[in-house]
This record gives sequence, structure tokens and C-alpha cells, in this order.
Amino acid sequence: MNGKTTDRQAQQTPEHEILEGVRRHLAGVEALVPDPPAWHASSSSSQVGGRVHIRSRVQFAVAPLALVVVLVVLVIAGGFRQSGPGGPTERPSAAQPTARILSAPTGVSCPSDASAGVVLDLGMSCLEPEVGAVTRSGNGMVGVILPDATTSARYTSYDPPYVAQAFKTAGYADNEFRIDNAPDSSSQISIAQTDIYDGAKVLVVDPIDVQAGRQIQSLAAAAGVSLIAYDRPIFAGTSTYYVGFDNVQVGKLIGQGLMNCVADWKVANPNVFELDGGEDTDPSAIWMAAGYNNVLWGIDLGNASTLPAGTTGGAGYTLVGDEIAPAWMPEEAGSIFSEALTAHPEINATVEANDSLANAVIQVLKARGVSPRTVPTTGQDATLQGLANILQGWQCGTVYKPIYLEAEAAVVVATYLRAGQTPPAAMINDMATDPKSSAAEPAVLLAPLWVNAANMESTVIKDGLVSATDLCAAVGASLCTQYGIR
Amino acid sequence: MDDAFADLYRERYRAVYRYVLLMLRSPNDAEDVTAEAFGRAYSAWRRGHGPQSQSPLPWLLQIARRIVIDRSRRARVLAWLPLPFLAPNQEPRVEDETGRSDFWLWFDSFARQLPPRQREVLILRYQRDLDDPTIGEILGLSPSGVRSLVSRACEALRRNPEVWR
Repeated sequence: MNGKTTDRQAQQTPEHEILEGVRRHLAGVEALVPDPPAWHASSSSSQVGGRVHIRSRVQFAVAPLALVVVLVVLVIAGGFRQSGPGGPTERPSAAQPTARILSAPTGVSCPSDASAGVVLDLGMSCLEPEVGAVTRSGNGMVGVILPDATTSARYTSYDPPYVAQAFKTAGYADNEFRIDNAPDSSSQISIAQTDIYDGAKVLVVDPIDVQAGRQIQSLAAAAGVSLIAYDRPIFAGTSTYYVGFDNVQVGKLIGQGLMNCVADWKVANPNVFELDGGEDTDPSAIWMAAGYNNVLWGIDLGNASTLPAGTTGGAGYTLVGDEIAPAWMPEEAGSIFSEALTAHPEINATVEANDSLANAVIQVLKARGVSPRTVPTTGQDATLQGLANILQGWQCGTVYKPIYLEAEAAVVVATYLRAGQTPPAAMINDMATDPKSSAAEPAVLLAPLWVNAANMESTVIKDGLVSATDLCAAVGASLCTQYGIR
Repeated sequence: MDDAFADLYRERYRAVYRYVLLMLRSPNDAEDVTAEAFGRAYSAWRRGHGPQSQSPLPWLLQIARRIVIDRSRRARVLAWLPLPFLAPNQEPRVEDETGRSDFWLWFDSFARQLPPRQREVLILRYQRDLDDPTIGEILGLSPSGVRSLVSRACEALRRNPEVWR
């Protein structure tokens, strides 16, 4: 066909011909370019110029504006519906305009000896005195580059206010940090360039994809700028730090949560079906599976994907099937589970790597007339839907990863790096290793929490992740009263 | 000295405007940003911070580029605001203003094929007196970085001959 011939010709076209073609089309712009208006030096002299001024303008304009806008949006919009596969970093469409978001969340107590354990489940308040001194001994700007809300509402609703608050608590002035959201990897890279150009000492980057991470790493290295990979590792360079949650621990909490639930709901001879996260696109899904497989079957899968049916564990557990939900897609998960349940009606316990997958399974169970508190499901992310399923007896619990911990840890590590100091060993508690390449980076691995009906009020509700009003509207007042949620 | 700057303004206004227009796709914004860029350039000039390199164009484009980036970031942030919160003097959407012209129809299909940086490098290439090292200076890239951006752009365009034929 015609199209094919054109394609073949196009494939052979040399670059200069393409560029010449583009140039010819671009020339159409000339008709749209006006002649210069008269020049009045005096009218322009009030404007500021020069790099220093430009820099401060941008900082004042962007960072606080982003913060204000995010808060305003929270207040007005109530909930923002996210779309797309967020996977392990996915955040619920939370609904709180809370003022609490900026004060110390979940009741944490400062240990007397921070170096004895890991500092990581502390609020910033525990670190404040020491970090403040480090802040004062450093100078220069810290640039924080996040994705936008396409994959998860967290990046605009939660991270920026927490990060900004952590900077302020640590004693930064408004023009010493900058927080940006970017829609794609090339914007992330160009924001990184701008930050570096504007004199950033440290970049904190949640890379949208591998390419963004690698390129920003090489830009930062070339400019002598320190780099922290935030929430998603970068695995490039020799001096990149990683701040994120311990995904193996996420998996272990899921496994342990299932076992507690099996005992609680009196499920005899558990025949387990596992619905893994998007191991095809997301290394953290592999870490999570390693965690729950270790707990349930005592098996260290290493980097393999799924376990064979028929695997048995202690306490009479048998694995009926183990499948991946490609790219964390709940739609796929529903049909995968539906087919599995038809083939194996004996399935009476399930593992799901996040709340969306759990909900897909729960819909199938409901459609088949299964009663609550019969077939356990598990999850992650503490979404409104997940929390409602927990209170209604469809889901055992969910893994909650308090974002403020991540924000604070990143700011603390950035503060040390900005001052030219090595972050304290008590913080850098692990090496994150790439499941694919065995590249490793020094990491602050944070501890996630298991949330079930019993501790929901004291964790996610108190932190303002999901509002009690929304949750109670979803499940009814009596369940809320029963579990002390208000 | 002021005369020298006025000459510079007359000679380079169109080049700066063209760059900003292609970046922001809005004539109103292009006018504002170009004026602001020359305003900043002028006050820097008066304080002795003129163009570093031989030609003043890369210097002017660098200044304009910072304002463009600043604006497009702010636009992204503003996109979050629910409607009543948009400033009352918010300009009409670019598409409404320019959507009917053939050039913008072409430009939109061209722009859709390329990520922002590849698009920008081709826009800068269009300014005939900018060579790769100079473009690199504007974008903060090495000359070879510019070339690889250009060749990636060409690779993408090769698959879409309708935008350059």
C-alpha cells in the first residue's frame, strides 16, 4: 500500500532533509512575528535583571505558590481521583484539607538514644536540634523534583506540603528550597538543569522513569551536585542516596497480616491464591513478593517472579496459584482472579499486593455470593476503598507508608549533603540493590505500618490521609462507632 | 550606551519573539515575555552584565528561556486551580486564538511528535545564526548533547513524514 512505500522512503531519509523540511514549515511563523514596538528604556528600567534577581523571582514564585495551590486544591476539590497504575507508590484519592498535615503526625516519641535504633520512624521534631545546626552550617539551595499527579495524587497533594514543612522545620529560608512537579521525564531533566544552573547544591528526585533518573544523575555528577533518589531508586552513579520505604518489609507485613487474618476469621486449611503487583514494570513489586513469600512459604524466591502451584508452607498452607497483575492493573486482576476461582473453587485465602488489586478480588467474591470475613484479602496504600473494605470485613488490612516520614528523611539527608557532611550512619540503614542489575546505593529504608480496623483511627485517620467523614460516609456510622473512628 | 542597546533591541526583537512564540504558542504571552526579557537584559546591561559571548543572541535567548520556563511551570501549577480561582484576566486559551491558522495546525502536529526538549532544540536550530555549541550554551548541554537531541528528534520525525514533507 501507499503508506508502506512512504514509510520505507521515510526510513531512508537523511537527517538534513528532515531538518530542512521542518525549517520550511517553521518559516510559516515569520508571518506571525511582529516588528519591534518602540523601545523605551525608561519603561523597562524598573524591571529587575541579571541572574541573581531572576533566581530569587523564580523561587518566590514557584515553591510557595505550589504549596499554596496544593493546599487550596485540597480544600476546594476535596478529593482528586487518580488514574493509571501507581503501584506501590500509589496514593489514595484522599479527601482531607487538613491543617494537621503540617503538624507532627502519628504519635511518635523520640527515643533517648537515636543511634541505638534506626531514626526512621521518628517525626522531624526528634531530629530538629541537630539538623538545625547542620542547616546553618550549609548554604545553597535544595531542588526537589517530583512527578505530577498522573500516576498518583500524592505527588501534588502530600509530598510538597510535607517536604516544605520539613525544610522549614530544619531551618531553611524560603529561597533555599524549591519544589517542582513535572509531567514527564524530559521536563524533570530540564527542571534539574534549571535548578543546577540556579546554584542547587542538592537535588532530591523522584524519577518518572529510568531515563530521567540516569540523565539527572549524570547532570548532577558533572556539576558536583549531590543527588537523592526519592521513593524510586535511580541506581546510577557512585554517590546517589536512596530514601524510600522498605518494600521487602511491606511484603512481610502483608504475609503476616494474612496469617493473622486466617486465624482470626477461622479459615481452615488455607488454599492460597497470590495476586502479585506489576513485577513486569516495577522492581519494588518483586521486593514485596519476596517479603510475603518469605513469611508464607519460608522461601527466598530471589529475583524469580512467581511460585509454582502446590507449594506448601507451615500451618497447613497450600499455594493454589500465583499470578502477576501486569502493570498493577486492577481490571486485569479481576479477570485473573475470576478465572482462577472458577478453576479452583477451593481457594479460601488470597494475597494482593495493593488495595486496588484487593478490591478487584473482593468484587469477584461479592459477585459469587461469598460472605464477609470468609476469604481474606490483603493490600497496601491505605486507600479510602481499602479502608472501607477492611471495616466491612472484606480485607484483613493494608500497608500504610506515611509520606511525611519519607519527606522528612529526604530533607534530613539533603541537609547533611548540602553542608558537605556525610549523613549519620544511624539514618543510612541499608543498601538498596537493583533486583535487575545488582547495582546498589546507600539507602534510608523506612518502616511501613500494617493498618487494620484496630489501629485505623490512630494511624491513617489521625494523620489525615483519609478523612473520617469520607470513610464513615462509605461504610456507615455504626461501623465507624464500632471501631472508634471519628 | 543606551543607543547601542536600542540597536540590539531592534535587531534581535524578532528572533527573541519568534523563539518565545514557538515555546509558548500564544502571541499575548510572546509579547509580554519578549518585553520582559529585553527589560531584564537592559538592566543587566546597564550594570555591566552584558552578553558574555560574541553574539548577543544566545544571551538574550537565555534570559527569555528562563522566563518561559518560569511561566510554563506556573501554568502547570495553575492548571490545578479549579475554575473560579483562575485570575479574571486570564488570557483565552492559546488554541482558541490560534487554532484556525494553518501554521498552528501544522505546529501542533509537529509538537505532538516530540518531547519538549527535542522540540526546543529544533526551534533553536531554526535561528540560522546559532550553531550547536551556542545552542548547547543556551540549553546547558554539550555540543554533542545537542547533536544527539537533534538526531533523536529526527528519528522520531522520520516515522511521521507528514510533518516535514
